[in-house]
Amino acid sequence: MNEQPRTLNWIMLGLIGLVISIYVLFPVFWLFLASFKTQPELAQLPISFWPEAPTLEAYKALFSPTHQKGQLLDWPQLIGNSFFIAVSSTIIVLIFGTLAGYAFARLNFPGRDLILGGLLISRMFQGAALLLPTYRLMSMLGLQDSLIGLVLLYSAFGLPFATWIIASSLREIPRELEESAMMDGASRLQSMVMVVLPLATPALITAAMWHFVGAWSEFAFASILLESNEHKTVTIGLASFVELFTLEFQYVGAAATIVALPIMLIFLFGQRYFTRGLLAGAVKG
Amino acid sequence: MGSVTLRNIRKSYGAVEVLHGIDLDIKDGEFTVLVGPSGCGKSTLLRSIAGLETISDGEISVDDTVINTLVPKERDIAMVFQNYALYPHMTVAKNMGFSLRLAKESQEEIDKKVKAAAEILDLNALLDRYPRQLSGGQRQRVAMGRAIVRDPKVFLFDEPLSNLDAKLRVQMRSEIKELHQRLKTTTIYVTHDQIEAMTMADKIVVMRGGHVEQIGSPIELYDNPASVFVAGFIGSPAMNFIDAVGDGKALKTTTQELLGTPNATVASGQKVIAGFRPEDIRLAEKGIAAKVALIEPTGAETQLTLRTENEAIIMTTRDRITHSVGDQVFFEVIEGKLHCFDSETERSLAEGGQAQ
Ligand SMILES: Nc1ncnc2c1ncn2[C@@H]1O[C@H](COP(=O)(O)OP(=O)(O)O)[C@@H](O)[C@H]1O
Ligand SMILES: [Mg+2]
Repeated sequence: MNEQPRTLNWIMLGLIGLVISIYVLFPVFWLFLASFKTQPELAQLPISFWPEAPTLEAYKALFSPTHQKGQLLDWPQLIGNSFFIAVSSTIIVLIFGTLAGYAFARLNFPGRDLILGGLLISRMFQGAALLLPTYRLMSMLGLQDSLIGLVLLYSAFGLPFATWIIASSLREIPRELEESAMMDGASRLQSMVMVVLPLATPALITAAMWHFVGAWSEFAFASILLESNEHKTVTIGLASFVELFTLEFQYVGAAATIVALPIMLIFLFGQRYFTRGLLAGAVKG
Repeated sequence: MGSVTLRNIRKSYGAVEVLHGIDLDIKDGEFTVLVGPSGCGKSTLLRSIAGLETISDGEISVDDTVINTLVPKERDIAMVFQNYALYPHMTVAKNMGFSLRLAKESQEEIDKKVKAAAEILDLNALLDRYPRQLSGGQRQRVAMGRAIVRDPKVFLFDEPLSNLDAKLRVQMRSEIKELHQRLKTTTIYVTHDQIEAMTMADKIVVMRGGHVEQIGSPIELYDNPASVFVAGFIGSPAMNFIDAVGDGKALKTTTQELLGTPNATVASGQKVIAGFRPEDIRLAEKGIAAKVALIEPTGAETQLTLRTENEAIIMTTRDRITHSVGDQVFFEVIEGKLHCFDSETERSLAEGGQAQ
């Protein structure tokens, strides 16, 4: 009946979306393009948009130790460190988040819902307020300037939300499925691994993606806790680049692209699960 | 083998007791139906037998082995759930073979048994499908297939047909019954539908409010209900109940009309509840006066609503009815079909009625 106003609405929404996308993505895109430019091209006026002679020089420099300015920035090492931290803490968060999420979803214990809500509240205290106490705590434990320390820290930060997502999605899985598995001869653990977890895959993937992205791109805690060069992460490397190469912007562009790449890949391949997982949690939480 | 014995089963959720001491003996191979209104504790009792609920008191045995401390997997009992509880991420074959896989049987053995069960249930063509690709009736059959591949001592069913439409329900009812006649596995079947109970059971257990009200074969319950509750619950349309008083050997209505001789001895002047089934009354030359209030032919039978001074009486008959609404008629209760119940306890006054 009111077909016309509706299409008009869609066009309007689309336009607004487009404008927002350009506004948000333009600097990113420009940085990406800059990574393929040469030093002179970046310096010239008027500023060029597309690289005149696209080159991979900046990337080559990034992966060869020739290029330093007095500071050792070993990108293969940085990437390795970040991967180690993000992957290990994701695994920890998944294991403990699944166990805790299962307990919150299935077992009856006093204060269950209160604690689950409390987990979410704990997320609100993150950030700058925690920097100093965390630094002191990690020093006392002898975990400053250690990758393991950062793995534990990120796991602790990531667990509440992962637990919450997983618990919400497990609650939607009918109890009878597990009971049926137990009648079929499964132990509680078997019924969880063989029946419940396969059905919770979207939530597990969502939790894993969410955590990996957070751990990979975390900067504040990494920068105050990690001191030695061989322990630094990509975000610290990127920050140093911004300071070091105010003129040679192609290097910053290349580094930023490398740092953003895993995240973009994750969203590209995981988007389907990501929205599903978050929605599952949103419907009944 | 699979005889089941329940002794004084009690179950509480917190401070609330929902099963108040259930005793029950089920012979090997028997098809027992637990029937009763919603909330009377049927599922709780069934789940206690399965091991999905821990009982607060009492003893559950299968073949003289006490099992109530065992976890479900150690009980050798299979259960079909109301919503089927098929594993959505497994094919029909995987669903059916899941228990065998857990029991670490060889793939060859699993395939053989799944195939045999699929044969029985006519599921051969569906083995590679996922549950979401099946109709309600097919899901129901897969759920049964999952139970029978294991060849357990006891099958439990919890209202397995309640999600199906009426026609399919009748069909599945016969299929389950046939399956039982073929496998002869002890079966405990829960339903709130008395027709299901009557048509399927070797033995019916009528439950009410966490108690067993009466146990017996369908015909026993129908002919000799132990209480007003059972009498009203079993049979459709339900038994008619009216207040009555003893008068010598006979019963009279409160308006002094003669009802007939009941199936129990009643003292003169004793107040009782008289009961008679709709098919156990007939129109007569004299008897209890009533007006025809409603005539509902269903083809083979006709159902009449007769209005006496104080009550509405339902009557069914296979005779052709020549009366019309508003006519004055008389009816009588057929000899030997008059039940009577204590007006306080509502238990039957007939011999054996006080038992239980
Ligand atoms: N998990 C539970 N917690 C508390 N009360 C329950 C629980 N499960 C069942 N009940 C109560 O126990 C009684 C019997 O329930 P149920 O066995 O499901 O009845 P039925 O299957 O005959 O309809 C009901 O009053 C119900 O409210
Ligand atoms: Mg029930």
